[in-house]
Amino acid sequence: MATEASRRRCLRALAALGLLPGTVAFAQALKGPPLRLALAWDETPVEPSAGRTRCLGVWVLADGRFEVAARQVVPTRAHGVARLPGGELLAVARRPGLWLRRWAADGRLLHEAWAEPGRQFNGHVLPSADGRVIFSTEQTHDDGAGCVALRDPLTLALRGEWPTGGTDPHQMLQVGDRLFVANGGVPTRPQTGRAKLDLPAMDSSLVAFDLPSGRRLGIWRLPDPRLSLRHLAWHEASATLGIALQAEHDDAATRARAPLLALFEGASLRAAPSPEAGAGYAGDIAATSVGFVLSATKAGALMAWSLHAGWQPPVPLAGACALATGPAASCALGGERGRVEGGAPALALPPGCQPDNHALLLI
Amino acid sequence: MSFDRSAARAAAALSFGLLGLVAAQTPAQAQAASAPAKALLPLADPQTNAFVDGLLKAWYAPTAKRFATDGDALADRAQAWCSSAAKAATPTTRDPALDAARAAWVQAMASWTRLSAVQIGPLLDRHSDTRLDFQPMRPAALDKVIANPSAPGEWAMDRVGAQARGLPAMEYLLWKKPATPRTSSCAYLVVLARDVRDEARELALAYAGEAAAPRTPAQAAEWFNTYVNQWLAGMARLRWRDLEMPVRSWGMDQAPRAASGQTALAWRERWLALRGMSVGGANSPDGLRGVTPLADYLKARGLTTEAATMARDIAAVDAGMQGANPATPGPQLLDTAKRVDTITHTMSRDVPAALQVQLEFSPEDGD
Repeated sequence: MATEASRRRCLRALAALGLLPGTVAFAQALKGPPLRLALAWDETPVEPSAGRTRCLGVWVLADGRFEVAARQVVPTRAHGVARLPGGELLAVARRPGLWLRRWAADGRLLHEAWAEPGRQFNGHVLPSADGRVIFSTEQTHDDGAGCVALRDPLTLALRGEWPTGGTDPHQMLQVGDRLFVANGGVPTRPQTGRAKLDLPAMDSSLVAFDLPSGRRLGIWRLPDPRLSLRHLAWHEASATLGIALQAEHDDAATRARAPLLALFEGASLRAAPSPEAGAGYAGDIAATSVGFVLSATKAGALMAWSLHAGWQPPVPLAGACALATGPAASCALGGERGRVEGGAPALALPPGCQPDNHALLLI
Repeated sequence: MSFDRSAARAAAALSFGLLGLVAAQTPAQAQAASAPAKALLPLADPQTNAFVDGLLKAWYAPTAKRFATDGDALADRAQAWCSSAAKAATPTTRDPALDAARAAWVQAMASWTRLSAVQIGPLLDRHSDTRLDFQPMRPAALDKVIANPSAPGEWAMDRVGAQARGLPAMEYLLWKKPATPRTSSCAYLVVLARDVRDEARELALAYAGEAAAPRTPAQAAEWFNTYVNQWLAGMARLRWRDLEMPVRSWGMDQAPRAASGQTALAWRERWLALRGMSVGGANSPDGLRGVTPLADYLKARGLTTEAATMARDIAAVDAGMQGANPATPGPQLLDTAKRVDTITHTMSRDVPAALQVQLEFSPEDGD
């Protein structure tokens, strides 16, 4: 539990960052349409012998707590969610994933596609800004080569692919006429699922494509090959790309003090200094007015990085992971509680529901 | 494609109200946090050593030896077929030498399927699965390799991609587009068979060495941890690659060993190996009769409920796997696949809550 002294330190730090006015936005959010989140989660069964149920759907904030508003059961754990310009939603299985779904916010499954033989989904999908194509990070099983697959928004059929020049491609972000992709670089094999068997061969990188041509504009790496670049956010004012990192060092102490954030300002990639207690694992990242905020899941904290003032004191949130931002509100989910922007009390999650890494604000 | 700059600006300009994100614990949470956590049973334990030793000595070493024997036979039969006087071969050709080569392939495939059902130790270290059994095999890649030998009748196998080698490529050259003796295709078939044989011999040697080696408690714990993870991976492979994907999307021609008509055998061999490793029993492959099943290990460590649950879930799959074949109705196969998934719940949820097992597939693992 945060002590009063550390809470005061957080308040001072956050005030300095200009994060306090969020209370107004929260109040506005409560007056307006109810806050809704699209996300994936696991449900712990009531019956002890039953397995977890993996779900996908929408939570709504009502009466100071999140409730399940729409739900569908999915074959395996889902990861990334995205919204098409028309309002329909997409969700994809986490790596090594076999399914991709288009669905409606009321929970209806509209279309489902399965990975072609010898391919797998890697957990993230992104419609192009004009909605004409869906980008999906995928990899082939014979050589583990990563690619951005181009799929039809309606049928989800594979139309083409752009090699990412790396393996384990993860999240994508479109910025103008550029598409950034994080190659996580962690080698896995189809027969061993998510087992990380060859970490000395890790090769993580950031790659950028020109849109719509698909020409590769460049590929950048951090000096430390055991830092996996995974999730992306764009800070518009400074034209800076923030990349959330996950450390894969053999040694636990090295992992614990590893950097959490990398920054790309157009020419080179660099790691931000390590925070004091990030535990080497950032599950999600979002842009703030002054920099980025990351969910340090294993440290149980939110970590704010100011482009001018560096790391701010961590804000405790057990199991912190999904960060969702929108024009009217912001939200962070932990393993047991959620918070929306502002000074409201911690919000209960639906009973027995464990949110996955990402959430999408629907207002 | 145009970039939605207004949305990006809105998101970027947004203050992320971290103040409101400071967690305030409820009294119940605070109480739970202060309650002492239940101690996990250590993996390093004499029973873990006994379990791992038994597994390597009674299962992996003899099964790898059997695969090596079958690999020798496969190389001999492939050579005999390709040296024969047969003028042509089609999928329906019946020729004693071709039939013998096909039978040797079926035998080797079955022993490989048993050995590779749960991949630990040398199978992982040597990437044997990629070398011997990459699926789907790509006919176009295979044709390209055959057309480009490094010298007449020779191929540098370390430069041949996974999709054009191993048992699936041999299956294609024995059934789908049978290689005619004294052609490049047949020469490549012989090279493939020797490659399988060589890998099988290496595996047999490596497992014999592991079976004879002493292990510290910490080393045995590491083996066991890998075993549990790979047991889960083996179950997942049976569920998805073998059963669900051919029904849901790919079609039965993409089911394992469809080209040779041995899908039912492949399913059965994988299941009996997984089943035997889990709970033992009369139907287990030979070597497994001397191995302590996983359920018995759990019972010996005091996890009797988990062991009973595993036995119950395995029995539920048995009925579905009995006689399963490509003509079995899809919903029935999907139901069996779902039951296979249920088996894994105990190992992925209840066992790690009691035993110091670290799961790569952990539900708590992020991405």
